[in-house]
Amino acid sequence: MQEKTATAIHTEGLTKIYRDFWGRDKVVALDGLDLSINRGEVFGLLGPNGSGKSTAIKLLLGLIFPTRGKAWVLGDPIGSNEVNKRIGFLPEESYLYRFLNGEETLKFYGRLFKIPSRDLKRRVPELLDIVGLDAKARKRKLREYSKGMARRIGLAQALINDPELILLDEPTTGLDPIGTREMKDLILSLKNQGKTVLLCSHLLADVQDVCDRITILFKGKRMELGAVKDLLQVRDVTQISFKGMNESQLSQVKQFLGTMGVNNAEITHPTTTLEDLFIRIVRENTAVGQSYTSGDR
Amino acid sequence: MTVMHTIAALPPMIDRYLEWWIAGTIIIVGLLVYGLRDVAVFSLSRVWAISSVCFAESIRKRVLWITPLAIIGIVLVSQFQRPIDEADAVRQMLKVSLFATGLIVTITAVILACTNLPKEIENRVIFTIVTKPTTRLEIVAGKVLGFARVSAAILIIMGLFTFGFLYFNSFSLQRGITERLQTMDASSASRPTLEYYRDNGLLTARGLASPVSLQVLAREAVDDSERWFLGGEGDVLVPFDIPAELLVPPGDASAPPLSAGLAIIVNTGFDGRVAPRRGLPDSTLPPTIAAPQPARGNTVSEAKVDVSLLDSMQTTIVASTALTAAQSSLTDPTGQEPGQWFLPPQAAPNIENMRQFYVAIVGLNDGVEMSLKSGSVKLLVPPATPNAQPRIIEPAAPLSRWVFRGRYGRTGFQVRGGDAQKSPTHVGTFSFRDAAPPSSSGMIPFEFRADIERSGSDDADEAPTKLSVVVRNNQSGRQSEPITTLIESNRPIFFKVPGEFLASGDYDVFVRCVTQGHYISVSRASLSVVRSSESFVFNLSKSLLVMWLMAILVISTAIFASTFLSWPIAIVLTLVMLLGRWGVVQLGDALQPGIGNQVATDLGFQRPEVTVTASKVVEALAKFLTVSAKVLPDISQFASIEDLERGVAVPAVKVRDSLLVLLTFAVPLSVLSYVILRNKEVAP
Ligand SMILES: Nc1ncnc2c1ncn2[C@@H]1O[C@H](COP(=O)(O)OP(=O)(O)OP(=O)(O)O)[C@@H](O)[C@H]1O
Ligand SMILES: [Mg+2]
Repeated sequence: MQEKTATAIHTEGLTKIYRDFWGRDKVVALDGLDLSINRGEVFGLLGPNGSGKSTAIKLLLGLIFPTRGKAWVLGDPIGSNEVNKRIGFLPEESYLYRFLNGEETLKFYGRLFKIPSRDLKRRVPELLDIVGLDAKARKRKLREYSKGMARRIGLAQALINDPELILLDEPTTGLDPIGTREMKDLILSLKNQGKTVLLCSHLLADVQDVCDRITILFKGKRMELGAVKDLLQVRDVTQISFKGMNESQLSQVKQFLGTMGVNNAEITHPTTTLEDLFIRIVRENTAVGQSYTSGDR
Repeated sequence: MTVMHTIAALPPMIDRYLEWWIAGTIIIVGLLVYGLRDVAVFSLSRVWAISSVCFAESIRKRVLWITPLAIIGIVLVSQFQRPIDEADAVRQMLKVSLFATGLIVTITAVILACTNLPKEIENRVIFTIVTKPTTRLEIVAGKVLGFARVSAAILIIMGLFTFGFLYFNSFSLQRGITERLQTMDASSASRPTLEYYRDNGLLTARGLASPVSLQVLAREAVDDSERWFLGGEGDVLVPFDIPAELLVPPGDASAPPLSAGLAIIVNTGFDGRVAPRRGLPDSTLPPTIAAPQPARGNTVSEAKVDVSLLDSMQTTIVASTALTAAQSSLTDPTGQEPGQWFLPPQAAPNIENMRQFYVAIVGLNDGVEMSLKSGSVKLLVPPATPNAQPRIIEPAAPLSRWVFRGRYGRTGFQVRGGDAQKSPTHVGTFSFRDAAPPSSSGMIPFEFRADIERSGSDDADEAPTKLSVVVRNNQSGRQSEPITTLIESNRPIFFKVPGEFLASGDYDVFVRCVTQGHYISVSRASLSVVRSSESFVFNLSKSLLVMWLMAILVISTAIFASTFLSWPIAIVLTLVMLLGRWGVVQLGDALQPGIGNQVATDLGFQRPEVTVTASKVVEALAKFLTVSAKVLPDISQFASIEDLERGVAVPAVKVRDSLLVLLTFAVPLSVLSYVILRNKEVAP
């Protein structure tokens, strides 16, 4: 019990099976997920399309109900309403009222938290600044927003209540490189403020840059869990990196390695190694000729 | 089937207030048991915020543009109206305006409320709402409130327009009335009505009091003095209310009720003089029964009476042919000699349905006036053993509350017109109780409205129909001079009566038609006294308020339907729920017990067991419809347009009744919506 309340998110065997109209099992979207996210950490939930990331987040927020298993968010069992006061959520796409403008949107969500209008007057422009929506954009209706702008206002509404725990479902989709950069900076600054962030993505570069720990989901099952640097460390491979090495220097190194009895040295440019890990997991678990996005059955 | 039976056999206490019991149970279980935690954190400011978004959405999607469209429609339609006079013009304009208002407010309410939730779930806006500290209870309340605000906006715009439109038009119409009065003959019989409009304006709201009863009699009657009715036209229904145990023959407590039959004792007197009737109808009478052949200028020494039994809905349960009469005709004009009829046990109807019923008495001699006194009609339960005494049962109401009916006319009972000195005529006796005007000095207006039916001979056709009215105060016993006025078919007319005759509020109004060959069809609602008047604005506001309450009922029904259905089907369900009760009421008699047999027989099955099954199925279906109608809202409570159109003040009771319907349906439906929504995965 202590563990459940001390952690930001704790799940035990969380399972979601989507059923069809007749109650027959259709898709096992999440299969016995055990997870524990500590307070103050940035946690990455990774997985290919259809692996159950969004499902997990929807379960944690009570948007859908688990078929089996239990979960606690900030110490409260999921589905309780009180805990929502301390949570911020950015959904996969910006699901907001399209006939309101940016400012009105934030005011509306602020009112749902019963934030006094005096505080809202201050907080709304502040947030709009943080997510980078300028004065003109604020007065525009959301239906006139570009994809990235919609993403930004979505992020602002997730932060309106200064939440302790923030769930971000693919926060960087639709953002330009600068926006992506800003998003990563924002996540890090949230971490510095002691907040917990659950980040859900398949953009590995993002995750690698900001996450403390990650887990990889595949067909609803948890494949890996650990600190990013531990997961990526491959102990029997050594990589020496240099800047500005020329061809002759390289052939000398090769020669030197040969004298040491190392003949199978592979000389490459470094890759995003999380990508390697990710692809390896997907490959290892996909049977030949089968698509991996459709979930498990 | 068993469920149906339990519902049908509910104790009267629960059956009577079925909707309250259901509503109370839903509210208590839904809110206090199931949703206590959500009730505890319920926040009006969140509800208001959610409602504001609904409101903003409707405004920005230009829902209010429907109002200028409706206004153009109203103005156009009123151009094509051909009113017969000023009052009628105002009435028609009001009717069109209010009808259009009611229509657009209901339609927008249904469409907006039915599409909202499914749409928000479909485009997942709901995700960002439910992941905030909002409860689903607040979401439902917020949506209902939001659309209620949209409806209010529509009603306010339409109300302002209606007021302006009518005010503007009635102003010029009123001038026309004043001009007409200046050139009009001072003795003209339609003067009182025009003067009423001149003095009170065309846009008044009258506070009316209605009579407690109407008797169509052959002569004026006071208090509980004897009542005369006309043979061949109409009948008398004497009410009885008898528990089954009183129908058990005395002397044998274990015998079933009515097992010794039932005797009906009637002391009817008659007036042997049959006055010659001049110019009486021959063939072209409009009524539902063929015209009676009048007896001319002779006297009768005996009269015939028919007796039958009717149920509380006034439909026959024992026909006169099923009763055995002890005498072939009545020979005593004073009515001392009783006539006796006997209901044999084998002809006795089903007692369970019997408790309240009428003994109907019809005089069979055309034009012969018959009389009844207090105590003239009683029932007698014969004893089971020779030494026991028969049991005498008196009617359930005094003579002044017996139902003296005329023949059925187009809209009520016919009052035969003519000169009472020369031929038998009718007098419609309207009894007012507790209907005192605020002050008994001055002249108090009465409003009268009836259908006129003419016998068809040419001169009778052309002549205007004249009414003669006498008011008798029951406290002082004083009687007014006859007041004459012209009436027109199915249009309100006004006449004034000195207030002194209305003091104490306990008075009878005797209405005669004094035009030979004309008949007026009257019902209890035909005559009312104008006790007060209030401003049109206030009355219009009340009517709009009632419409708003109905809109809220529509909205909560629509939201309820949309919590578990896609919007097109939700619209259908909403309409079914709202119109269901009304529809079942329209089916009326077709759902009475016994329909199963009737339908099965009509279908003409060969095998008896098929007939029995078919009968049972139809019977069960009829019962199901009746019971489900009971738990659906009664939208007829929300009809205030007619009052306004007639210039009658919308009674406060109507506002209260609409509120009650709202409480018993909208609140539990919203609670149900909440319960459904809480158990629903809002992710599509
Ligand atoms: N309402 C639903 N009914 C049936 N199956 C569903 C439903 N929602 C999701 N699924 C299935 O569940 C599986 C997991 O979906 P989920 O949205 O969680 O994936 P994801 O990891 O978020 O993918 P992506 O990276 O593409 O966003 C998928 O196979 C999907 O088709
Ligand atoms: Mg997803």
